[in-house]
Amino acid sequence: MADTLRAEALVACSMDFEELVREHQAMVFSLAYHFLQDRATAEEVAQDVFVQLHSRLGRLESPEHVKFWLRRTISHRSIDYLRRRKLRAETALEDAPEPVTPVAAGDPMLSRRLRQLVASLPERARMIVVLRYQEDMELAEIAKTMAIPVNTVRSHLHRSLALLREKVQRTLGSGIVAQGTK
Amino acid sequence: MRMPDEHLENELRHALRLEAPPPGFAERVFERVARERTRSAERGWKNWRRFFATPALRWVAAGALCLVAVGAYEVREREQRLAGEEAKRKVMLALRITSAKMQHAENRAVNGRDE
Repeated sequence: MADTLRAEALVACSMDFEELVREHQAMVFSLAYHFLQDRATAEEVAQDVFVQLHSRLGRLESPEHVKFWLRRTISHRSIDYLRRRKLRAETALEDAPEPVTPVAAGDPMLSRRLRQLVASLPERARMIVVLRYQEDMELAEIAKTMAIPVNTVRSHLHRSLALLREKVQRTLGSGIVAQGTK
Repeated sequence: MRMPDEHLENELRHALRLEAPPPGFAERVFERVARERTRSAERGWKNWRRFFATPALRWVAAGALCLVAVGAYEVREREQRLAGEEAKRKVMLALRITSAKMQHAENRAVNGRDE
């Protein structure tokens, strides 16, 4: 019975490659883009992942397995890409330029600034933040995806949030704090 | 004043929201998959050709072919020899039976005349 279900799932998966690409393209591209901060590079890495998915479809057992595999593979590939190309952190967190005008909560400028700050985090911490806030993943899920202990995820996230908070408050002034505490 | 965690997290969710991939992304993926498939099929054929293009391997292949031919010839020879031996054995048996019967008939004829 289980074998039959598995076989059916495999057939369904292999038949729906196009559907899978259309369903998950935004997720895969966004993870790469938020991590790499470059659309062309993100597209290249995301395409590599989908090409690899095509050759591995027969081994993936369910739609959930496909989603898990895609998240894991794009995370690892993005980190590998950055390490290989040594593109990491064009600007270190402390060296990131500060905007000259204060911005309010929900402002596109605040979002851009936050993305810049996230991009300046170390690779692993950055991917944890992206998985947490783009995908709304639980810490245990992130740990499984990145193949690291949950406590490591927790401590990276804690440190990253503290750094981001400090930097945002320092650079964007008190306006954001006032709006955020309303 | 400290920025609340919830507020920072909401801002992060907003900043890291899903981005639409560039137009034509999926189509480019399908094209790449199709290209990869063609390339891997060509690669398989090329690998075979490259395998036999190496001079040493050509000699090995020719040697293996000769061995197979000689082996097949030997097997055929052996089968023919065995078939011949079997036929010979049958003929000898038939001759022995005939000879025995003739001897028997002759004895009966001689003994009968004597009686």
